[in-house]
Amino acid sequence: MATETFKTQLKLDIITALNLPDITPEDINNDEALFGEGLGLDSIDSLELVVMLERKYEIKFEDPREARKVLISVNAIADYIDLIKQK
Amino acid sequence: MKAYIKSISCLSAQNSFPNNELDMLILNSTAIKHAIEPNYKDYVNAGNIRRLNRIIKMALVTAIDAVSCANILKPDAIISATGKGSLTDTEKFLMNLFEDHERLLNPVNFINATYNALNGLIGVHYQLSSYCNMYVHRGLSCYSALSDAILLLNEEPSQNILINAYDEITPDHYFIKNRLEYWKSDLCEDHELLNSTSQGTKAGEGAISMILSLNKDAENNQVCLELLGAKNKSSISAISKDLLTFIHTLKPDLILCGYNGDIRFKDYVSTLKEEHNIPVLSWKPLSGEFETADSFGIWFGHSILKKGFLDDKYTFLQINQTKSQPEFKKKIERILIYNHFFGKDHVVYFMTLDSKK
Amino acid sequence: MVPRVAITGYGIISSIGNNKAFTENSLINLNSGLRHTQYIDTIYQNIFPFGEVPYTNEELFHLAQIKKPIHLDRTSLLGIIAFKECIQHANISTFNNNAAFYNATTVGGLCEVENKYLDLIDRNQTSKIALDHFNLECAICTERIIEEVEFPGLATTLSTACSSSSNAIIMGARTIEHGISEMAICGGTDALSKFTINGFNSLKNMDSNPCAPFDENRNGLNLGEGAAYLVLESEFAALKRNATIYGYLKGYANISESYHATAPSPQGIGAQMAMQKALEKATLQPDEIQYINAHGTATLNNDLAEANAINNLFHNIPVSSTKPYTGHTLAAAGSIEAVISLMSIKLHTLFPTLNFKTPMQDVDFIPLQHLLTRKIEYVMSNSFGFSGSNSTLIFSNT
Repeated sequence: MATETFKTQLKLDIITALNLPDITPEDINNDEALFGEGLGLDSIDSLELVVMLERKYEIKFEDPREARKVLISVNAIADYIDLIKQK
Repeated sequence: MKAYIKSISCLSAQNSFPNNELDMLILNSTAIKHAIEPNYKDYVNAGNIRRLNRIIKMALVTAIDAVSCANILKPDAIISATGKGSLTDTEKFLMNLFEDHERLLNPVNFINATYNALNGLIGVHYQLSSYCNMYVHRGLSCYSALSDAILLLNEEPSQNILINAYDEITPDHYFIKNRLEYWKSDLCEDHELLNSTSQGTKAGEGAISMILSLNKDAENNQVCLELLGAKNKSSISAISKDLLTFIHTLKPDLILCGYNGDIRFKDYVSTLKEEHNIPVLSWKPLSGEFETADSFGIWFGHSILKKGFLDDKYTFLQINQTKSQPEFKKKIERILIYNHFFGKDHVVYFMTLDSKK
Repeated sequence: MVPRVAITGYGIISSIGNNKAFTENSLINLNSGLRHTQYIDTIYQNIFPFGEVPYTNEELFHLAQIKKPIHLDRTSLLGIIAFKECIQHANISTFNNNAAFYNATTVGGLCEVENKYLDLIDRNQTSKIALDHFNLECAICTERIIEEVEFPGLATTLSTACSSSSNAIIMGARTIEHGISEMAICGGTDALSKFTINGFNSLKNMDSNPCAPFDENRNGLNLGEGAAYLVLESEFAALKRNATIYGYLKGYANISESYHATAPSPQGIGAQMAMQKALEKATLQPDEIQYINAHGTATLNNDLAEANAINNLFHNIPVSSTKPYTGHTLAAAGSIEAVISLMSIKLHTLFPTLNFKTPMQDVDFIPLQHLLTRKIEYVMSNSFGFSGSNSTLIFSNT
């Protein structure tokens, strides 16, 4: 189960990868939708996140459609990383 | 082929932004004349520019500023010009490619390295559905964009067309162009550049945007910009002949030329250097050299026409000897502009201020 | 009186043929040019199909019949070959000084510079670089073409991603309609490069199978390379010099859509506007168009948007994408597909969408799957670019 510390680091990585201005990890709710409403990220951001997740967390996605199912919220990503690491 | 400049905006190595005139000049001996960047947040939402590298941000700001200064809600078409596009993005993507052996590449650099990226961003900013085009022919890019715009104005005379011209220089690209012998090998003071006897010039960069229209604004004196001609290459004698013809028929009060202190190309302006009645000034010590630097020449001419006379601080930009000082001081209403890029891409413009209301 | 814009010649090189005759042959015999790359040193060499012209640079140099012993990059070589064919087709021996050349490219010399880039920026190397060995700027490719053919008129270069050479053709037409030039050579050229291969792959827009436009299971595009140019001429000037007229550019449109920096709206609003505006320029009704050569890149976004746009404007019109033949040739796509559209008029044949199997679920749209013999008066060709630049051309037989 991913810890709060882990999720904070994950949020920092998201902020850095996407160059989100004036946002801190505290501003992102772990359950908040990352795409569409909520943080309002778009398809380019999802591609950048896929690159970041592979670089930093060694999580590889087969294709963008698979990634979109995971990149829903910080919690969803953290859970997925957990799942992969346990395998 | 002419139109009115409804508004113009310029980010450059001088304090040209946002006031469109130079109160004091920034002159030094640095090899590169870097553009002074604005506070981007004053013009555009930080979230909207988070993916952008500097030259695209700069061009976006001058575009927004030009539209705002023209008192229009949005432009009716966007035509842009660049020699090298967003070099920063191109370089980042290339280096990424090599360092990561073609894996884990960030798509943002690729998208922004695409030449049309700026047009797309401006379009999204104004929610535009309009004609858009992008010219990438080095020293002819700006002329081509203006030519396209004026044709469009003749097709749809009520339009306001946004023109953007921009180029940046990066450390890596400066180094490559140095190996191609573009630049001075020794440091050169800006106020000595035009007297230099060595080859090479100084690198510059900038973003210039303007709104072109066929409709003269009744309240303000507007500058009329006319395209007189362009050539991919030309002999010195042909250029000299053309310039003499233009001087004779158009009777300018001032000639602005893009001589950049590179002695290899001094002969292209030899006719102008021999002109004794009309001051001939170069803007390159102010802007540095870049592919779309003729757009800075247009901005500079515009600022002089609006002021009405030449400031004393520009005397060091003069490349000829005029018979008497009063020639320098008289009212400026007609400016001939000539530029080329390292001996190619020759362009000639004519700018006038119609003071009759 | 606005002059009609006649097409008096064209030239083409792509993975399906190094000239018009070979290209027509491949189109009719359903021969795709897609295969693994032989010449690009990339980790994707055996992964993605590419529409690669099957000649080395040395072989292209000979095909181009270059007069001087100079060094030329692949984009310029492809451009020279197509340009020379087009002026020969138009039976042009000398150009007027007021002829114009509108060239389009996205890659320019990057196909070559990328291989030497690390050396070029190596601070330990201070040696001079020969000017003809550095050709990053797009202008240089255009310059190399005009120097080789000794073109006396004004040449310039456009780059609006996938719609580039369509926009070059539109500029040429407008120059003629305004009476500025009587003749404009227009088109584009692009060579394969690691830069574009990796660029499109970073967008996850590339299919590791031969592309299947408008198919439910499509997975992206295959990149291609090539060049094509058209001679546009005022009808009056063409008739005056007894030129053969192969068709007319009857309508065109260039219009951006601002849905997103890289993607079209799913409803295809930009595509629809472009086609609508081109029809208005041509003073034609939708049901007068007999064939649409679609942009049809086989990306998830484009094909859905384009199909929706076509459905909104047209009823029961044959549509195909010829990108499964040539690959997506980027800046050259507009002019290559313009030439293919003119070939469909000439051969009375509509070309199929190779590799199509399953219709898309989200839209009722079935592209042409077989060769269709039909006399064509009007054909529409679409090229929709990155950053929302949408261009449509309409060619007519008479």
